[in-house]
Amino acid sequence: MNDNSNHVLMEVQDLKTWFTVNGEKVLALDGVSFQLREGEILGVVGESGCGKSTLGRTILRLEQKTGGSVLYRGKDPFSLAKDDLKSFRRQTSMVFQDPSSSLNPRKRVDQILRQPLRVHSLGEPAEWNDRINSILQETGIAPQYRNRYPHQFSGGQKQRIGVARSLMLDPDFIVMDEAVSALDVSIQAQILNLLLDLKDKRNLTYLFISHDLGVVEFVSDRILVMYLGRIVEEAPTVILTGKPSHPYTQALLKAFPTTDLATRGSSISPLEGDVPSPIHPPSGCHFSPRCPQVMDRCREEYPPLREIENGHRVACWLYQGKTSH
Amino acid sequence: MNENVLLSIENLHVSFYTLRGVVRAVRGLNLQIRTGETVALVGESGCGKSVSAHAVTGLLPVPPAKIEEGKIFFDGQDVLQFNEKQMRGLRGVRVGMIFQEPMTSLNPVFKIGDQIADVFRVHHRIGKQKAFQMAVDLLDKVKIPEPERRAREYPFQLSGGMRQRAMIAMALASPKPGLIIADEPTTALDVTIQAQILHLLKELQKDIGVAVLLITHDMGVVAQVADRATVMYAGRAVEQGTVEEVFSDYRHPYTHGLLHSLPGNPEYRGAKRLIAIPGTVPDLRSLGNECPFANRCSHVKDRCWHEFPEETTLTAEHRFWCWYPTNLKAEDAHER
Amino acid sequence: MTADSSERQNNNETIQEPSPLRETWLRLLKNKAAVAGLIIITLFLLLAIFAPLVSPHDPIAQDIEFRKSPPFTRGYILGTDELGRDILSRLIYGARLSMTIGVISVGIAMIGGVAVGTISGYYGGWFDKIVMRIIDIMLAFPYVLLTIVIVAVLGPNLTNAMIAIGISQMPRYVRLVRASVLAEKESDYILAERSIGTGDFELMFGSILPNSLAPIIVQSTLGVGEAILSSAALSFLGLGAQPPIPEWGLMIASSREFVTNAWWIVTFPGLATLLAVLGFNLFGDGLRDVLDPRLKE
Repeated sequence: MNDNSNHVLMEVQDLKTWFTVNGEKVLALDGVSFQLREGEILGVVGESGCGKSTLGRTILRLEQKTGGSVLYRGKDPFSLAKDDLKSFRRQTSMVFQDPSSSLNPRKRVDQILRQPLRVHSLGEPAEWNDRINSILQETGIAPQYRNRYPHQFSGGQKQRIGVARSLMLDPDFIVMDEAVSALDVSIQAQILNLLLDLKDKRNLTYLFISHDLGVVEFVSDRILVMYLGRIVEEAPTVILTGKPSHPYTQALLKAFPTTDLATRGSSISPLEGDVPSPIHPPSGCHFSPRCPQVMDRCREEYPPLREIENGHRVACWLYQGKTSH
Repeated sequence: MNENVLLSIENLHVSFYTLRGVVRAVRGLNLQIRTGETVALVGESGCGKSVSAHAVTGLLPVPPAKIEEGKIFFDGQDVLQFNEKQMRGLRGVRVGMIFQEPMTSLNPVFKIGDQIADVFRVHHRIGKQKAFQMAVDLLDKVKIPEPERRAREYPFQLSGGMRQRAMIAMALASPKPGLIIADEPTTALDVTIQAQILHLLKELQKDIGVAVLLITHDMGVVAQVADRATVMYAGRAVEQGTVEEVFSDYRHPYTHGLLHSLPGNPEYRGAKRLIAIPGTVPDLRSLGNECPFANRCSHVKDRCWHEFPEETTLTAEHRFWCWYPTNLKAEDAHER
Repeated sequence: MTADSSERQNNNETIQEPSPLRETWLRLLKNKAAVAGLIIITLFLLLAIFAPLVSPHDPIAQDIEFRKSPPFTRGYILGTDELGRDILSRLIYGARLSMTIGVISVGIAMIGGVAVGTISGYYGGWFDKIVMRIIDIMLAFPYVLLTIVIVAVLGPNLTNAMIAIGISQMPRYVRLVRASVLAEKESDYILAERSIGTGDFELMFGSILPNSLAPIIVQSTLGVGEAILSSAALSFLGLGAQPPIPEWGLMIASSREFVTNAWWIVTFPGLATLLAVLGFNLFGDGLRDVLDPRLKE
């Protein structure tokens, strides 16, 4: 971490995003609070339905929030008027999971990259070509392929173009929504390195969302673990992977298949049951039906997210210290 | 040759004749699977791992696919000489299949229990009631909770993990399953569910003694559950051996690169960047006799561009195809 | 093909690539039915454009002496009608009318339908609900009946017939466009464009619409054929073109009593209509196959 790591870039308080699907309420994001510091990579990990993608979209105001607040550099993006919202859009951006579906198939790369500049009327149109070329070069695409269509590139190259687009407006903060998950491993490694290089060079801040614990662990300074719309544990990476406290985090780490033959066979010790639906989450702690250490209290009351040591927060009745007596 | 060999693939070559040229999808694959073991075929997309498995079960679309060369023996019989009827006697009877997306292989308009019961009724002369009861028992065996109720549900009512369990049940419904081909069986699942399915497969294997051909891109899964592994790249096997040999004593630069592309690799603790393989997979249509990894390899020398490497055998199981291998253990080094 | 295989060329010029439009065109040329349809359509279009140059006679001039002459008499290749007018010339001028009617009525239907459908699908809400109910009501009427009602209200002439056909065909475009807009607006590339602050108008008509065009193009091609048929029907009923305009439907209508003793007067306009509609249908079906993403390789 670098010196400005203590500046809070984004402050999220009790953020809720609910959807209505076929008349039923889906609590995709149900009361999430955390801070994002300038210059850090904050990892968000969890299984499908945990709300990690909704989190990324909501803090960029790409979904309507149901409750709670987001403050980006002290301002709430949801209450910004036209010009301020435009400036928020310029400072933030996003990279998506599937590079094939996140690039408009009817537009040439040049048009895709020119659009942000045009929408924001950034600089002189005469300079746009140079800017497009230089960012393509920075992301590892030869500028002479500018006039190709997305389908004429391989998956890894398409993702490089997606990254290039996210950089066009020179943002400060990028949400990486499963940005490497759809790629073959050898390509994934290239893109991860690229993202890390860009982060250092441009002094970016990432919210790095992924279901792949190995990837999140490698890139992140801190990690949020989510389960059914809520944060169950938050800690600096070393602490989270070295001393996981929430039973779900422990299970997740254990289930993750590593290539370390010393752990052979251990990652297949199963956690019982399916992930419940966010439409009817279990009462009490959402993890209680699957939790190996479940207590009576867990089925009745949702545990608060509590700091058990500096920067390490857990939502679990096992760690409620004084209050549990 | 080992007497226990259940499936033997010998010098398999498969090509696809497309409008834009001939895609040489598999070139000279050799692979043996013995009764009761788990063998992994691992590689990135387009490496030919799924095509090889489809060749075993006669599921290749012909045309455009064509088996150019090679033999496939199952229980000593040459599968490639089978007619359609014999093939059906193999598929679903001796060889069960599980795919990445169970939704596409389960019939959406029939109840789960009925679909499994149908498999029983093909093999046994039993009534509907009896077959359905057997299906419920089997669902219980693959640990689907409330099997009675689930058997009466349709595929879309089950979660992804449960559907995959139902697929496994179907593969086991035949009277004498010998081999299960699992094509990316856990790729679409969450990690905790993936762990359950892998665990289940392992347990059933112990119980019933089936062999598993595991096709996957995930080196982690291979390390956790396979006994032996074959690493494929652009249609060729590049390294083959027991899991210990492939993961801790690898020789091929691609195996090295693949393992180091994984950020979860224990060697990376505290590292700032990954050791990535540069470049991309070559176009399978334009490959000649060169080593297909040559354009991305850090060890590449002139010879690699002209000749595909000869097989080097290290142990009974461990072999690799590379002119200039990586050597983890210096004492094994012998410069060519 | 991926970009890498040609990376070795390494020239600094920007490489021009064929557009998807061109690729579609090349695939279309491989489809025999589509090419046949295209040839028929082109033929009619050429006849329509160069009608004064290619028609041997004045389409309205009457040769009273040679009424109802059979084909190949006195230079009348397809014979003359009950008033002694050259049938071939009338058919050629009729092509002009039919093409115009087809294109204009489909144009009305498409522009209206696309605009309404896009806005309705993109914004949803109460506007969408109202639009969809109106569409339901319109589709509850039989197509021909709806057209007749509209013409009856507007008054029977060719212009109003085109407007009526256009309005009657509009609902299907609204539905088609709305359905693809609903699907496309959730896609990642739209989210990506929204995330940089692109405005609604550009998203709707610059990004979503071009990706929803394929079914609309197919529908409009088939629609031209149908419009030609409808206008012939309207004219046949006396609600479209009025005599002496050489419109195909009108030609059939005014000569149907001679079908037993002068078959050519009825038959040739009928054949012309059939051929034109067939041409558009063949081309439309071919287009559908070519544009269907599931059939690409």
